[in-house]
Amino acid sequence: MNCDKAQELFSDFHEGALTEGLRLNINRHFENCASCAQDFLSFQQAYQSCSTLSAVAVPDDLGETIARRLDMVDFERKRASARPGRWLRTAAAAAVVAAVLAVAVMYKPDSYRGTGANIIPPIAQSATELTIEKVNGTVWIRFVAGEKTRVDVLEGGTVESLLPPNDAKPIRVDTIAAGSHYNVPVTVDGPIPQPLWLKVSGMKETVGIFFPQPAVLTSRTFTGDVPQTLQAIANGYGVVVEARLIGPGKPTSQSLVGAEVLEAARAAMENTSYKSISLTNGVLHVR
Amino acid sequence: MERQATPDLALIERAQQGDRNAVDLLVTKYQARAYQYAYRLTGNQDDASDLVAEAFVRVYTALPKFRRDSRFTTWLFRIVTNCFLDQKKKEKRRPTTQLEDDWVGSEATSTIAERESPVESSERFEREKIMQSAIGQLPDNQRAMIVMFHMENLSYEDISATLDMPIGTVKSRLNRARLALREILDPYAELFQND
Repeated sequence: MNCDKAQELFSDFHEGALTEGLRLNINRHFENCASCAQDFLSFQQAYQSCSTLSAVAVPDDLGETIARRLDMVDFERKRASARPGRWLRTAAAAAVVAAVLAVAVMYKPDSYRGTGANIIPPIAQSATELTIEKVNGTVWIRFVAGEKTRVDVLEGGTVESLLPPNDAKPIRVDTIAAGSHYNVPVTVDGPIPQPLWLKVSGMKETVGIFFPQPAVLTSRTFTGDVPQTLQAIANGYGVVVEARLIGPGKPTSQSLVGAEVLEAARAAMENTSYKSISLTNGVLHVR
Repeated sequence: MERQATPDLALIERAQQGDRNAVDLLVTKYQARAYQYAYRLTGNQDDASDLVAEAFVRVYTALPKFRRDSRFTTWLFRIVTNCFLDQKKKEKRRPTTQLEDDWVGSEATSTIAERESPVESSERFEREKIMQSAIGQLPDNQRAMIVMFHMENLSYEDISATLDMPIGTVKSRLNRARLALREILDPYAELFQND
């Protein structure tokens, strides 16, 4: 028996799983090869050490984190079954992006009262000054992380939910420490990928945002979906949707409540070439 | 392969019929075990939580297709492993900025041996940190096997079923992984001698 063959049999020898013949062979090899005999001693030590790790504490909120992810699955199933038709899917998904941003304005963790399929998780709750902006072919993502946050940027895939689908292609991933500024340009070859996904994973939430096709937001099919979706979410959360919205073109800023914000969001998106959506200090910007 | 105990079967049947409460009960029952496994694979709490949550989403969506001829735990371990391997593949394809040390060691360790002296605690902490780091240096597949066998006490047969891999391959890869661990741990042999 040579050294390579002996090493291949270390586990079986240690576990007493060798035939009598092989066991005698390997013992004979150890008598003639001090190096393998020594290696086997340290192998046994490593083998035993593997099993000595202590149990780790399970985070208190793990069950809640999982439940919310499952709630999202329920929500998406319900939403998919309620869809009027495939041609409206992208537009409807775009409406949800705007809706989630608006709800995030008023969202407070202690007011989280929704259950089951009514829930849409809010955007990274502790992130502030979130901006996603397209400038000369480069998408900029900026925010200040309130907690340790991980950001996955992905492109493409089938738009089926707020989270990146499995067929989306990863572009980059970053881990941001609490309190740090995240200011990252995502440069892509050729046209801006459609859609571009931003998966933000904090300590308690993992949510996705996607950057839909600009053309969709200028489409007439968008009209009507925004108010309905926003209203449904507002009802689901039991909160009043309130936001100040800065529209495209004229730099106007208004304080809006309830139905007003819904109307303003619809009006702002109807006639825009759409460059960015941003949420800064509680203000929803559509540029 | 033996079938799971009746309570699991009953829960799975209810879950497959769309009973969300049954799914939540399965989560409650197995989340801790899935987390232990995920933590040893990823080496940090945040990634482990993400991995477990993603795995349960896959479990939830694939439940209607789950054939009850294998154990739920085998299926769950397979899904956690696949989520982990998928994640690692994605990370290899893209630039990664890691701003914090992933292999923090025993920040999450809860099991403090009773009557352990401060020196013993310190040594145990050091050993666990080194061991976790050593496991993290193994190829992804071998890492999963080491954790399943040595920490989750799965048999070779279970690992073979979980990874859908011939048992001979599992054994030879595990042997290679242990040989690699031996090399990595060799400089710290003194620290591990009391085990």
